Amino acid sequence: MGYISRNFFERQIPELYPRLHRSISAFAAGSNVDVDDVLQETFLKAFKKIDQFDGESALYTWLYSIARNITIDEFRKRKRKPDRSNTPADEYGIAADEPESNEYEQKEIDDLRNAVSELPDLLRDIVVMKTLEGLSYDEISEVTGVNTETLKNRMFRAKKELAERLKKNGV
Amino acid sequence: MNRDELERKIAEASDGDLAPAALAELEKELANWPDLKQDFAAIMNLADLQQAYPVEDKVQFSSQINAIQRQIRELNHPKEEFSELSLHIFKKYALAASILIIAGSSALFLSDNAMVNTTEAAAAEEVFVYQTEGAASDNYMLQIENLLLDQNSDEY
Repeated sequence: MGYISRNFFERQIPELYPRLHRSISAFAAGSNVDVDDVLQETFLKAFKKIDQFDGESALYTWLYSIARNITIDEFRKRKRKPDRSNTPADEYGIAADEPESNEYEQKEIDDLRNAVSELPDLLRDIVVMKTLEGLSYDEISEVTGVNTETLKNRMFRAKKELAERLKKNGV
Repeated sequence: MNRDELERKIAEASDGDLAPAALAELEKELANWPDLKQDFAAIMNLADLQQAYPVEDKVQFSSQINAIQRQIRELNHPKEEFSELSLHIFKKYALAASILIIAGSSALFLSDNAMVNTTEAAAAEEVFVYQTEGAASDNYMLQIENLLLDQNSDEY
């Protein structure tokens, strides 16, 4: 018997899916990876391996690490061919009749998402896990196998690059 | 502090993980590193990424979630092959089947005994009837003989 039951796992899917979708969308931004396909594979893989989940990390962190690995595999298969039509900025498109202030806010959000999608995979990975997921550096280290000091240095570089890209775009 | 350490402190500060005293110490240290001080200011002014990536409502993903749950249920209860299904049913109802077989056999055995009894009774009855019939015929023959004797005695 594993740490959690299969029934419990199945009941958690509706709560975990939207959060994972957001993070993997951000992580896979700029690629033509289908996030829904990745998540479907993630949940099925996790279900089959549920007995291996020992509860040392949170269920979400475990699932995120599976989804992240599947996404990285997809990057490798596709050699990360950019497909700008699938960037998060386009996914969350702006309605044509929104007021000007909303358009301005939306432009800022789109610029930010585009800047994130242009980050190298290595750096975007940390930004998604730390900033979007709120994982601790210890948890990220568990997922990535990279020590926390290196992760913090990467986070510095990621945020520096984001700031430079946004400055270049006049944000 | 060296450059790497300062970069890590800047990352921690931007994550909101640095205590006010540590933050003040970092700012003091950065006075000696003008390029890092500039980076620090730019990073601290970055927009909130959480705002750029809101978590959407689960209702929007209901079809994907249902599809996953359906596949998981199929994995949990795979469709059984006919042979496996038969075996499963046999195992499940083995006790009931055994009882039925024993009951059936007993019933057959008892009905056979009943048949034997009936046959024996019939045979006994047949013998009895035969004997009765035999006795009647004997009487009949005796009567004829007596009649013949009477006739003969009259003739003499």
